[in-house]
Amino acid sequence: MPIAGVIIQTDGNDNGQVLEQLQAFKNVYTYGVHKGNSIVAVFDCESSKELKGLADQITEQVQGVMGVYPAYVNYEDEMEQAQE
Amino acid sequence: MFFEKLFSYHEKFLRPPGAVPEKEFIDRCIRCRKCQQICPYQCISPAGALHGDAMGTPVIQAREIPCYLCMKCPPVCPTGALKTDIQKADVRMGVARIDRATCLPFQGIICRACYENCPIYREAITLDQEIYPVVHPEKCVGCGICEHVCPIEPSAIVVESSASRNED
Amino acid sequence: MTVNRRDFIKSTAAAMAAASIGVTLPGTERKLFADTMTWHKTVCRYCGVGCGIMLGKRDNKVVAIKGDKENTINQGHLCVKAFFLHRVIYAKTRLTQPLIKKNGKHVPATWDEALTLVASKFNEIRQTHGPDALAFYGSGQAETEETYMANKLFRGCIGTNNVDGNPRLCMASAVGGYLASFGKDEPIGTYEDIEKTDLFFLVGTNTAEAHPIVFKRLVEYKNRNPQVKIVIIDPRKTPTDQIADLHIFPQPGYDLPVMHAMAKVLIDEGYIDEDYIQNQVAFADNDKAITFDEFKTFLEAYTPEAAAKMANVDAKDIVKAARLFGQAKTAMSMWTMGLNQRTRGVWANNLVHNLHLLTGKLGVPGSDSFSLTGQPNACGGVREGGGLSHILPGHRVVGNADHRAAVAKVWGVPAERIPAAPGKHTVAMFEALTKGEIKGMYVLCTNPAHSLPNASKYWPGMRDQFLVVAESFYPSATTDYADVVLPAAFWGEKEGVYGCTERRSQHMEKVVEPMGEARWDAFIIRDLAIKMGFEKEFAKYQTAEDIWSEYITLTKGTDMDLTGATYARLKKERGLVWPVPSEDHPGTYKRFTKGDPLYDALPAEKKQGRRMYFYGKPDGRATVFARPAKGPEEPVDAEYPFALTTGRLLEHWHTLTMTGTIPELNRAVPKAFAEINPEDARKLGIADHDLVVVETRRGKLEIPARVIDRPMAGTIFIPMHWREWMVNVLTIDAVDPGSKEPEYKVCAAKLRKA
Repeated sequence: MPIAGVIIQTDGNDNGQVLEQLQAFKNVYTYGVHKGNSIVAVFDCESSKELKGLADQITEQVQGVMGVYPAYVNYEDEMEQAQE
Repeated sequence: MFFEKLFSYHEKFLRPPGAVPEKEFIDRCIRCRKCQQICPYQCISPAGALHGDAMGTPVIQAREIPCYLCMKCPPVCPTGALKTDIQKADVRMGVARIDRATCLPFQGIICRACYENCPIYREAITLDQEIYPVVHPEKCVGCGICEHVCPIEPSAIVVESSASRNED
Repeated sequence: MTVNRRDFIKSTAAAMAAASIGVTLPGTERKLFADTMTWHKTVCRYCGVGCGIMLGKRDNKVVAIKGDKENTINQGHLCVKAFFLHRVIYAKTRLTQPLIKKNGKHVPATWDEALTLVASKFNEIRQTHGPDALAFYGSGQAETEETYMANKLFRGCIGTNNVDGNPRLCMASAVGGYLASFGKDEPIGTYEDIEKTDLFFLVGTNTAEAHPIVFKRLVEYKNRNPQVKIVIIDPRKTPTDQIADLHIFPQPGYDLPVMHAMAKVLIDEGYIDEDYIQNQVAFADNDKAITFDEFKTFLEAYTPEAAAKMANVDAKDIVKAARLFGQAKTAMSMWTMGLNQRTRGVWANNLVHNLHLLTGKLGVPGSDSFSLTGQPNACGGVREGGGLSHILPGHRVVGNADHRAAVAKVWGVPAERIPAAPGKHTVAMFEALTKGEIKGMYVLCTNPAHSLPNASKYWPGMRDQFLVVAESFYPSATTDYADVVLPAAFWGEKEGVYGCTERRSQHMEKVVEPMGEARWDAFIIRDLAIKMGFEKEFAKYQTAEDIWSEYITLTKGTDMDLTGATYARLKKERGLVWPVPSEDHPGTYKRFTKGDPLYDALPAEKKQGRRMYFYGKPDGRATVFARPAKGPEEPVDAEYPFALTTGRLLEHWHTLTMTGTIPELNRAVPKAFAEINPEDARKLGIADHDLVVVETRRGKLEIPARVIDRPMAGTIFIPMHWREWMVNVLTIDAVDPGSKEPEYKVCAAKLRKA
């Protein structure tokens, strides 16, 4: 169950609207808009595949999003499973 | 803890060396599996049923077994889906791309697996400042050996197939 | 996983994302430290560089690893091997219970059974055949505390100097070189010189692969300072090569004349430091003191042209190398197995030291003749701890009665128990085992059946005599022959000290409990000693600190004084560089000069006019040696026309008991290969990946070819790591007459397509 810290970069025109749209994703948690066009967010997913899908989905579907940039991913559960 | 690879290439088939552009390849390939049979490394497998009209065409999954460029398969292709007269250095199966967010040297960990194993040695992959790997697309043949040897899971270096480039 | 833990990870992820754009999220910092993960300070288990590592533990399991940013050596960086090192703890090949061989098969036993068997067998051998029928074969990977305990049991209690270890196979020539040239073992400077030098002189070292973090520091420094020069002498093109200004490729085994010719050019062209030579250098040939003029006469035979002919190189390159060395204000030489693993390894070491002594490029920041070490505690545990057949703890020697008495006193044993004659060195020890002169052997933390030169010659001895192997991993080439296998705690499961290349001793924390029934080697030896009847001598050791604290009393007042390196201090510091004579002493950057407490304590008249005083020498002068040039023991000939050389890869280590358990590293390099020059391959019709047969007078090996222009034409390189492609069935077991180190690096071979 990987958890990713990401930066969602917006075009900066209407961050409020972008945040609102992000509310619709139940596994996305936002931590404010910084530096004008960067939303700090956390993706809480079931699998790495879902993480990737979620990032693609947000980039493609949410208006005003220029890109999603991962900064940190914790997938210790997956690693522990792999070890056993 | 590693970084997970979130953004990567669109998964397109890596074709055996000498493959003609993808659309033409699909037309020419008669799914005879001669290339698969001659490959001494067993790196070629047929595409599965989910792949529609590409089903049965030869595919290389470089992470599993890459192409070692022995060049035995192009001459046995009966239909010219693989060009027979191609030289090792002229092969363009794809181009390797490095994900700097996961590639170990960019995280402060010394690793030279892709660089050391590249068959176009010291040409297709060089080391910037002797530490950071750089792919030179004009030299890269797309064999996928780098993708195969990368010690990070998933691989921080991945071959983007020429099949997708040809579609653009 | 608890909800709290997940919330914690989320806030960490958010904080990390925010940090990536330079933003601190309110309230996240506090939560970061509320994690249940704790970090523990230790040292890398692989090579001798001594990189600091932090191990992350949660729920009594090691789950994470990172480079220790506060460690001065690696500053947070690691190599790819080390990056996966924590997972070796949980390798499937971990041995978790004692094994006893019954009817040719290993069967599980209790500790009591196993130790009782070993004790009674060892006592029986000792009583029937004398103490010299027993032997201990140790390791440069054992902690200092572990080697110390074995030393005490075998020398001080059993009464034999048959105590040797695998550093004999890797560092012995460097020891001999330092002792002969400077009078004391181990380097004068530290890694600090890397970022202060004007020239790197790299001889017989593939630094990029064997010592990756040293290489990283070197290239980063060179990148920032392009005027810094790098000169390499090595018969193989290696990744280290990419940054060289000049690379001389001598025929394997023929580099001695090249260094003599460099010395000649330095003298002839006026690059020497007359003042330095006059005040702190003496000259000698193999037998006696000579004058500087006699040394010059000796060098007349080594004109660049003559040397170039002997080594098959270009004379102009030798002159160029000498001029670069001479013109640089400071110079730092580094070498490793390419010089040490030679039948004239000590001489080769001397000749590097010669260049520094002649030019006075020694004892000042940026100048040093700096030997790189292959194992993490070869310096600390074995060279300093006295783990070779002729030495005792604290840089003492067996042959000195006062030294034996001092050690015996601390051990609480009669001084006469320690024999005055050195014991058997590694190759002699295994020869004696094969002849049946040694009847019982204890092997600790090493794999001689794989790593000895000409290995197959020594297997019958291991098979036929009583062999005890203490190991963390099973099986290995050596455990196959063991009568008893004892499960040893692995790195992370035990506390102790490692001493690295730069005289730095570093403490390693115990992070988790040993797996299964595995026990710490020092306690295994203690318990064995008690069962053998040495309770009085061994019962007192209850902690690692007990052992270390006793050991450092034996260093007091010596050139390697560790009195100030107490456990309390080592636990806090990122290691201490000896001599460190008191708890308020910061450690010593340069030996034999101002700032070295031993130099500072010398009477003024001795220091008069001398910026360096080599206090290990009677007259305080280091020696420049006129050593004749000598080629390898087994030169190539018409029948065996290739020079075979062996070495390491970046991704793997020694005999794969550790790196072989990590799928990611096996993915990077899954199997062995023989590097063959394209020119040779063409002549023999060999293509890349073809199977080839490499054969020497000792054995043959079928192995895939890697056709690549790394080895020069006429040479073959095979990595040492794989048991399935064991290159040591080919290597020669001829040894250096001084250091007794075998010549792994050169032998004659033939090659054909399989």
